[in-house]
Amino acid sequence: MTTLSPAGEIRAAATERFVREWRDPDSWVRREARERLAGGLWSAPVIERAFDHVFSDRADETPTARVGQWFEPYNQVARRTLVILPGNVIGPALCAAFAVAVTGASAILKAASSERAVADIIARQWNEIGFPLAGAIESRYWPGGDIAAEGAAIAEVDGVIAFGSDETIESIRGRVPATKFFKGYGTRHSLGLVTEVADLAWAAESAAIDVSMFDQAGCMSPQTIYVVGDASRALRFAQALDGALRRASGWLPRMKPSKDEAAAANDVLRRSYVTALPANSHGLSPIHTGPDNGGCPDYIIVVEPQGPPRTHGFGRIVVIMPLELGLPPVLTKRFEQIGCSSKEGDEIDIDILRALRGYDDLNEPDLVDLGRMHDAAGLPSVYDFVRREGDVN
Amino acid sequence: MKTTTIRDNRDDAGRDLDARILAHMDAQADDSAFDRLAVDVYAYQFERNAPYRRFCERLGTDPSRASSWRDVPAIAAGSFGDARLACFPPDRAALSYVSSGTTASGARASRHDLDAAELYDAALASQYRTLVMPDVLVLPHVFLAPAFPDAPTSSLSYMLSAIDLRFGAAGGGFFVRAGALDFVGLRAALSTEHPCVVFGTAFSFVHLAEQFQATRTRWSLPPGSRVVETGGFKSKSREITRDELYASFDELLGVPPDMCVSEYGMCELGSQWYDANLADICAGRDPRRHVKIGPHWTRTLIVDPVTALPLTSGETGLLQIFDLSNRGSVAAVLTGDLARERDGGIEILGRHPGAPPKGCSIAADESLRGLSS
Repeated sequence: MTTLSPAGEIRAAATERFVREWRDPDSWVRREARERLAGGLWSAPVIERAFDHVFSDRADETPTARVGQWFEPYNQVARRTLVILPGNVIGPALCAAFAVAVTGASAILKAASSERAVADIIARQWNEIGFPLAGAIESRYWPGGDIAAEGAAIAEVDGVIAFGSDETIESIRGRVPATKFFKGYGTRHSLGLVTEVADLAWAAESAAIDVSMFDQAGCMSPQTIYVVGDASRALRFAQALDGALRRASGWLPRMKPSKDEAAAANDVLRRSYVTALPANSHGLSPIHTGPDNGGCPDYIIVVEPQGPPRTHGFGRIVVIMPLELGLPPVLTKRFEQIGCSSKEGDEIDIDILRALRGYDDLNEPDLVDLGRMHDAAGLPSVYDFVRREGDVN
Repeated sequence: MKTTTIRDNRDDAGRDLDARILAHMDAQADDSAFDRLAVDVYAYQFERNAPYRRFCERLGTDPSRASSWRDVPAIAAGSFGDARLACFPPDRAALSYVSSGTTASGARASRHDLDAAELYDAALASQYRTLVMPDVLVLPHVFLAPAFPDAPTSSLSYMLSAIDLRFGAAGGGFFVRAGALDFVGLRAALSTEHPCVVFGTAFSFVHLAEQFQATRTRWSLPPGSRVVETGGFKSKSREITRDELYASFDELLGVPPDMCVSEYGMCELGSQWYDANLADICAGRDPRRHVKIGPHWTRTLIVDPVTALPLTSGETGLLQIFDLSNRGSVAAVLTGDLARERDGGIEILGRHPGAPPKGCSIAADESLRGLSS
């Protein structure tokens, strides 16, 4: 049981309301977000599910527990922070706001042109909630390349958090004074893992959720899914995933892709005719495609030989590879997150993790359940909103 | 460096087929002869190139169903980065070109192995003679690129070294060393009283222009000099338009736009395309500007980027090429470049944009685009 100071109790109650309203499909914030995001990058069911799951439901991440963990000891060192948000997933705006709420920080949320609604709604919601959240979030937007607007925002804050490609992160970092904190969330990718004891059908249903949410465009999406075992097991998983994605397209439908995206997806499909496992190896197809959606398949599943992961990053394109232990490690760089399907209570074989990570840093990356890769306690981290020694740009 | 010895590792079948292709190059045979040769090359590649055969089989086709080059399945250029697309084992590679990946998604470095250089050399010499040197046998060549021994996996450096060997004259050379332009050497080479050819990537010309502007240097190369540019217009430092680049050739080198041509080629192809304007001028015709002419042993199609089906003449789509000089790999290649047919040739309109930027990068990448513009 967390014991809070009076100020902490007020903050926890306000944060609880903030979270509760975003979890409630009938709240005004959800209704307005639904209306403003309609016709954009994601279908309505994807948006609804994203809001339903954006806040972790783990007991140690309740607003009260988090306020006790962060506001009570750190509120004197909480920062005012500029957060340059991505436009390809919904979570970071709400996760940043949650971090601000539980630390006592404040933030300017700079929205992307493709998703300008959520930050704006949060700011108005907090003003309605009142003390102590009122005014702590400011939503801003400026078009790309407006250095004057960016510079003005940077001048107002103690730290900057930015999402983008590695190249972009470095560009922004160069414009942040060295005396200010800077945290970049650059190019990141995640993987799926189906262990040797996992039920393939269950794993496929779970993976289909992670693939369908944000259409593989998020850094938490499983670009490549490794299936522990030989090629035949990977092929059987691909077949199961084909069915699961077909079903998922009913309840988590994909928006019609642009012509450019359709062309790129078809290019991937043509290339998969070269990269996929030989067709006759086990009597199962190494390539599965969904029904036509805007000129390209709704999804593409390709089973390739074991090797380094593929990171297409769009269009519900999934690469599946067998992971046979004893072969050389397949990864050469860090991956953000591994979505893992195993059996409850089973420890994952350390050799599998070592093979996946490609080196012995067993604390990284994060392990979560397949099917919940987009539900993980999101980015940016609460750590980014409080001052700690030596954490300048 | 004047000589480059490349081994001939062809087997009898490859050598025989090359002999027929070389005869076709020399004779400029009709369409039916081209089709017969194209189908034979397809059958040769289907039999020997396992990844390509797999590709064709997945499309449900094989050489028995082909009667024309149009029936030959075109492999995506990006596939050269996904698999080794060669009709011979790796130990018989005489040349191995590697390029940086520039495909729309999942890019890997492309690799193109050749078992001999004879076809490649013949192809590049014939095109260069026709479209860059129609009026003169040799000229000093000033290359803004590394020589082949310094970049042994670069198809561009091999091509330039071969051009130097065939068309070069005293006074030229290669002026990129250790990754940097040799400005001192360039100044000496450009202080010539004789016409010359300056050949480089757009990227290197941007650097040259920046250096010349910084030092207030201008050259007025003798009449008959020409500029050949390759490699697109997007530099690592800043983007430049084609018009800006060609204006800089006139302003900084004294070479008028009609004596400047752009080359189109890629590591995955054995043949090159050049702008028609210089050859037109030399032949007394009105110059066709930004129209690229390919050799008669190639054919092109413009296809819909989504369906890969042929478009009608004049429409913009992806450029698909059938190139007989690719005998050792895959002759039919679907590029990632947008083009349209025009005035008896093709106009290259840049790379297909591919999928929109994704991966937690949209917001901030917008700001980078804003900066670059």
